[in-house]
Amino acid sequence: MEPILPVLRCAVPTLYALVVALYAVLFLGRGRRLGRLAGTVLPTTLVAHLLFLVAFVEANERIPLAALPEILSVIAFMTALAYYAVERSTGNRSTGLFVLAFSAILQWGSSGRIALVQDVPELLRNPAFGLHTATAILGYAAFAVSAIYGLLYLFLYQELKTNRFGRFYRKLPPLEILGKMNIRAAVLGLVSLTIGILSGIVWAARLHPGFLSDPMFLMTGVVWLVFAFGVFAHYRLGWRGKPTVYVSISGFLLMGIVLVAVNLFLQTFHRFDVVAWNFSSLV
Amino acid sequence: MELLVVGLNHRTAPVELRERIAFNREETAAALSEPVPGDGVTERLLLSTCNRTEYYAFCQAADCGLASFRELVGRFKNVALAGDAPTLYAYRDQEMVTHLFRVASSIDSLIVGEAQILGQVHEAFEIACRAGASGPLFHRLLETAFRVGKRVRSETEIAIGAVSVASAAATLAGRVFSEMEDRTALILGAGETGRLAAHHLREIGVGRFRVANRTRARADELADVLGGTPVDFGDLEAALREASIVVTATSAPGPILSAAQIRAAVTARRNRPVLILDLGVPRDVEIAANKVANVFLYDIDSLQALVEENLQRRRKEIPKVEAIIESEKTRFFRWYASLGVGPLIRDLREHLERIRASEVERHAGRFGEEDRERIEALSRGLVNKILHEPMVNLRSFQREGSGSVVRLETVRRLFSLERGDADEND
Repeated sequence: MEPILPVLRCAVPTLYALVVALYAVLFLGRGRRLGRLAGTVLPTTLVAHLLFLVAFVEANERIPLAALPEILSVIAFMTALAYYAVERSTGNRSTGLFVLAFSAILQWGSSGRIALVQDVPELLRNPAFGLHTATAILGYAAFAVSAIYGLLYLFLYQELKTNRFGRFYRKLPPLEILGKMNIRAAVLGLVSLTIGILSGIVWAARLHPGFLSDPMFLMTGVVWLVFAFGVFAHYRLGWRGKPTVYVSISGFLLMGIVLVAVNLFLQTFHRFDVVAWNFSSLV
Repeated sequence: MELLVVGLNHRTAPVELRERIAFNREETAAALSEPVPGDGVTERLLLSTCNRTEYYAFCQAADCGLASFRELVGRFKNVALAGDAPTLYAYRDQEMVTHLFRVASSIDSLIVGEAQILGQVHEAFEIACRAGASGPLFHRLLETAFRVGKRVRSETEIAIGAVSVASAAATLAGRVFSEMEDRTALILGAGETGRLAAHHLREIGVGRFRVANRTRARADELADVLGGTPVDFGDLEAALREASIVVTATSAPGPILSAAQIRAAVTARRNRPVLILDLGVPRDVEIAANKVANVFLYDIDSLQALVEENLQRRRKEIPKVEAIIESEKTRFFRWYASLGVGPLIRDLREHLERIRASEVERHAGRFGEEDRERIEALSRGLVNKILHEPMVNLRSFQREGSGSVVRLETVRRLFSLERGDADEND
């Protein structure tokens, strides 16, 4: 399947662009017939994206989770897949534009930079690494979905509060559904990221006893704490609506900052010696 | 021959006159079952609703439909309508079809986009069919009108959004909450407004109702109708804690619910959202209540604004509806034009000429040049002879009004004649 990789690298982001355009048409309420095409183009895009990932695995003999562009592509796929499952179960396409635009942005960012065939250290081919990264990425994708639904919640809340019955009022699902999606996605992300962190700890403890000083580990821990607090506040303190949404959006922004910072300042995803290095340079 | 509609509606006649000449089902059936001999109307349909009474007719001669309508109104309603009365309108041929399609698509209604009119047109057509007053022409016309009605509802937003205060209140509940059967609605004030809003909430599936009223008997009565329970004003705070939706429609001189009461209720509900629909004038709920998080407070003005916005949005859809009407009208008249005897005779001649020419061509090799000319002349003569009698008979159909439609259609089918109605099966 290796020969189709370059084709799919171009085709998948193009298909995402088409999907976003179709969902935009649907959201704006124009060209209903054209909008209905979205129901066909989205699964086609998901199949193409899956083929791309399978072809990548076959060409590289590893899962595509060793570099940021690979991870972005997987997050894009999982987010779009999760949205598709929601759409199938609720029959509501009105939030598709927002979730799928997020997937499209990630995939566009990934396709331009991804190395189709890249050798990585044996360490990153370990199954434990696969479990760690897959669950962590599912967690991130779920947090992203939580934040997107949170944002939509805020838009609709604002229109309802101020009696401005605009497009969000007319198109989005009920406020309560958006709130539920926000919190349920956060819970899914929290559970998944917890497994990711724990499997990472077990794996890293054997190889890098100093893993506690890893900036990625520390920052992910902070993101986890933010979402854990949001979920706790919702279920135990009775937080509803805006406060919970603010927590999930903050957590998502923090997550974005962490990913960008890791990409900009560290050469690898984890840097187990960085704190010690910083301390030694300070001394 | 003409297509005609004559009638009056909410724009041309006051309600007193509309009431006087409104036909109920039985009267409509009776009026259509007893055609007036010699009135020149071959197909007819009577559409009578609270906003219009219209008589659709396929007439042998101009203006005979108008006389027929006046006769019906005089006979059944004892009302003498002058032919040139300003309350009456009459549209012919293209305008008649446009008018019918506008009615079926609800853009001619008092409330643009209302859902009942298509059902009323359907019912009028069924009565006309049972009475034997509708023939093939009206079948085709009404089928097209129903298609227009369905298309405008599926292809435009003409029927989107609530257009009454009570239904707007229910719609708002649907924008905040998802599962209605688990919700409790608290109705404060069992008057007409509260009652209407409660019924709309029940229609969208709200599961439980609590009703409070100054006069306990009225609260009991409404609670009974809604399958809910009455509440004393003294127990209001407990009821508030339970309610996701609060409708207030009392005639109290000032607010009966304070922001502090509502804040306390929301806190007790662990911040679950509360929708408050204040339909009272003066208002029943302190305006500051809207500042409480997860409280959505709407007064009569904001609901009215929502209704007006929805109506405006519907009105903006009218050009799209008119485009649909225009396309269906073109399609209908393409079919209508093919019903003429002239086009049928032309098509039949062309059809037989094609057969003749192809047969002559097929056997051309068997004959010499001289014989070929004879064969041409012979075959042409044969076709003309065969066609002569049918042509004479076809021309006589024209004098039979809409009864000829079936015969002409049969001839077309017999010879598989195209009618140039390319999108027939769309």
